[in-house]
Parts: sequence; structure tokens; C-alpha cells
Amino acid sequence: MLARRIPSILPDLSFEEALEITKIHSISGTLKPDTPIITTRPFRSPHHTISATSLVGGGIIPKPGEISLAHYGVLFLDELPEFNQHTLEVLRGPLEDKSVTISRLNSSLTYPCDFMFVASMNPCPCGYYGSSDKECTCTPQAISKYMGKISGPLLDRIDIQIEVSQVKYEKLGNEELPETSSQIKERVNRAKQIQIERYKKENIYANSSLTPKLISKYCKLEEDSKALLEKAFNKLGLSARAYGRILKVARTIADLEGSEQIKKVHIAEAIQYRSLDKKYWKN
Amino acid sequence: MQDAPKQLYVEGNCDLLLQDSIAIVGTRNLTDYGKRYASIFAKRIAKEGITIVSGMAVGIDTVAHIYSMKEKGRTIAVLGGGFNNIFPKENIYLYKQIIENGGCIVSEYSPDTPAYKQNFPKRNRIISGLAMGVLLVEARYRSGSTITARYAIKQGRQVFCIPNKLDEPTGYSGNYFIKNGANLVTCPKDILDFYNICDDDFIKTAKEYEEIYELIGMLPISADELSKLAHKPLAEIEEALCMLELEGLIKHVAGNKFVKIM
Repeated sequence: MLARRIPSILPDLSFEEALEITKIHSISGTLKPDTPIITTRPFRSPHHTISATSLVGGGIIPKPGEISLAHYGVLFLDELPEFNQHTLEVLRGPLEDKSVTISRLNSSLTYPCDFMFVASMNPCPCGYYGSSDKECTCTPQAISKYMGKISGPLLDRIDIQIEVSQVKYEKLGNEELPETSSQIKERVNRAKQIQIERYKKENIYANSSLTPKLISKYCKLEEDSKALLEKAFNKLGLSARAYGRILKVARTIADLEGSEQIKKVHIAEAIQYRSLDKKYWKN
Repeated sequence: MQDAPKQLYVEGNCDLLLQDSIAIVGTRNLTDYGKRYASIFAKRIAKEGITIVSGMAVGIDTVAHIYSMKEKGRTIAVLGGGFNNIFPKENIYLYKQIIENGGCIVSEYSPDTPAYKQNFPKRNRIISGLAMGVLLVEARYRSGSTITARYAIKQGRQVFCIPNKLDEPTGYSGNYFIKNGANLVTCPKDILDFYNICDDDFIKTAKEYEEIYELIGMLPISADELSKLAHKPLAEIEEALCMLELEGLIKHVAGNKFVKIM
């Protein structure tokens, strides 16, 4: 339910982006006659029985898969450990390259796939591990087997990992009004504008497309933030990939706050977002 | 000390000889396991400003010297020959590096004495004598490192051993000493705690975030709850939690909650 709301806070599509999305959907034949151009960000949530081919694309004449249909939108995989492991591993390359090349005997095609990858999972087979209300009945082996279905390299590519606790019955009625989607969207649009402005000369639009060289140019850290990151690196055993990703996330958090400089708070928050990594997989 | 050396030749920073130090010794044919833990211990102990003493032989000794210097720590090498006859020859580079990094080289033999085989076990008494305690990482049955540990016991020094696999020939002596009452250590903190050496960063972090640290107990508590209890914005709490966790003061447990580590 939470994941389905994500498109509602994503920044507005530009005309070029809308065209590109429409093209992909047109190729795959899913464009409806009453919507000649797609103006909203796509949200794809394939069932966990999906095959690797239909996820990345394929066929005699390769057609775009779910990841390309989610271009500039969201690909949501619910119950991540239930997916076939092989199916999940094919995501590794496309997540990094933002495009996928499908080679068949007759042709070789490259489709774009610049999507936001969102996934959800239970903490253990019974679903109560770490819950304060109910006892978990799983054995430690069962839990680590369940977690182990998500490979380290895939997890490494997920920037924000958070554990959410159950919503209590009383909260469903909701007394205090939280921020609405349109309010959040305003903040997001503002941050996006800052990024477009900043990367005018670099031919990119967002923090996520920063290359290592650009990271060192645009993600300058103060001394204490540097020390924090170094400490986190040594203690948590983060990968080189995680290093770049933490900086990008911290840059984005700073942008959302409208802060020019990446502060220690931002780095700390970005590190906290890699909670699963350090908690379950590194023990 | 019985059979104390008549004289010591020292090259480099001789003030080090009077400072707190720990000896790290072990086999020449080290395994990955030994290498890993020798480096972890050397690095961590050196970081606290404690000098690492070793014998500048190949294997564990070399690892101990190199990694102690990585944390800008200082190190003492005790030779079995004169300064002009470094053995093994490939360690001449290490010899220079130690002096450049403010460490020192010690030998009881005049500079031109060749590296006689029979002198090596004898210099082990200087290694153990200089240090407060000896950490035995990996050692075979009746090896040179075993001699160092025996000297340490004779001289009233502590012997620390890391546990080893039973079927590893290089694990024999470590396990033997543990069986006979040496201190079993599993992390550098064990040694530091033994000598009551505190980690400065550790205390500083605990002080800096004292208010939030006090609120975390043995029962898991989430960041949201902490934010409400401390009347502070969530971002500030997250920063504190991150710092406290990195210092090893608290632990992140399942359910996105935190507990204190005693």
C-alpha cells in the first residue's frame, strides 16, 4: 500500500521523458487507444512468479520487459524473497547501467530502464521477527535462510533500506494529520529543480546519475563528516559501491532540506538507511 | 631479569623503550587466519598509542610491524643479529620504514655481528622483557614464539593467545598456552581492558551524545520513541544513534530498534 503511493510524490515528468515512456509502451503494444501519450510515471508491480525473460525483456524479436516498462517510474517487487533467485540476479546489471541489452540470434536490442527499484519483504517466514507484539516462531537458521535469498550484491545496490513496524489498530483511525503527498511532492520538485540547476553543465539531471568523478566534485564533505564516513566504512565493512551511494543519498537529503553543504546529519541519516546491510547480512 | 643483555644497541627513537608496549609474535609460515588477526590486533592496539614489539622475522612479525605503522603507531623490532646484517634480507625495506615512522630497532649484538642462528631464540627474552604482555597469534610446537611466551612467564609478563583450530599445526602452541592458563583473547579490546586502557573516541562519543545514550537501555527502543522522549528532532537522534553505534556503544537489533551494549 505504501509502495503504491510512491509515484504520487515523484517529480513531474518532462515532455522528453513522457515521450520516451510512450515509445517503450508503444513498442510493447500496451499503449491504450484512449491515452496516446503517457503523462504519469509508470508503476509496475509484477507477481513473484515472473520469469527472468519477462522481467528484463526478450522473445524472438526482443520486446521490452517489466524493467523497461517501468522506465522513469517505479518497479515494485512485493515479497522479494519469494522471487526466483535467478530472476532477481538479472536485475544487477540493469540497476547499475540504467539500460539493458538483449541479444538474440536475430537481433540485439538495447532498451532504457531508468527506474526506481522498490521492494518489500517480511523479516522472516512467520513475519514477526523483531516485532514487539508477537513472538517470532522461526529458528535462527530459518531466518538466515530467508534473508539469504537476497544476495549481497543486490542488497548493496539498494540505497535506502528501512524496517517498518506494524501499524497499530488505533493508528488506522489516524488522529494527527501527517504530511500529504502533494506537500511532499512540492518538496521533491524543489529538490529536483536544485539538482537540474546544479548539473546544467554536466548533462545529467539527478544525483543518482553522478559518476565517481562528479561525486568528488559535487559531494564535498566537511572534516567531521569525512571522519564519520571513514569510521562507518571501517566498522561496517562497506563496499566501494556503497560509498558512492551513501554520498548520493546524503546529497539528496541535503537537497530536500535545501542545504547547500552536506552536513554530518545528512551522512549519518544516509548511513542509517543501510540498516539491513549491517544488521542481517554482516553478522 | 636473568641473563640480562650486557648492552643494547638502539637505532631510531629510543624513548619508545620506556613506553607501554605489547609484543605480538607468531610463526613464520602464517595462515590467512593468523595474518588477519595479527593485523587486526596490531592496528587496534597501536591506535591507542601502545608500541608493538616484535622480532622482524617474516610472517606474523612482519604483519605486526606493518599494521602497527598503518595506524600511525610506533613499533620496536628486536633483531637477532647486528644492524648491518638484517635477516631476512628482504626486510631491509621494513627496517628503514620502521625508523622513518618513529619506531626503533634494538639489538644486543654489535652492528657487524652476523645473524647467527643460535642468537635468535635468545633475543626473544628482550622482546618479552620490553613488553607489558605478549600476544601469541599462531605458533607451532616448540617454535621460537613459544620461547618468547615462556620468557614472558618467567619475567612475570602476561601471555595472551588467540584461539586456534585444533588441526592446524600453527595453532598448537596458542591452544597449549590457553590450556595452561594463558589469557584467551578474541578481540583487541580484551587486551586493552586488561590494562585498563580506554578508548578516547569511545568516551568522547558517549559524552557528546550522553543525553540520548542515557535513554537507551537493555530493552529495545526505536528512534521515534527516543525522539519523543528526548524532545529532539528525528534527524538529530539518527545522527546520535549512528555515532553511538559506530563506536560500539549501542546495537541495532531487529525491528529497527536499539539496545545498549554493556
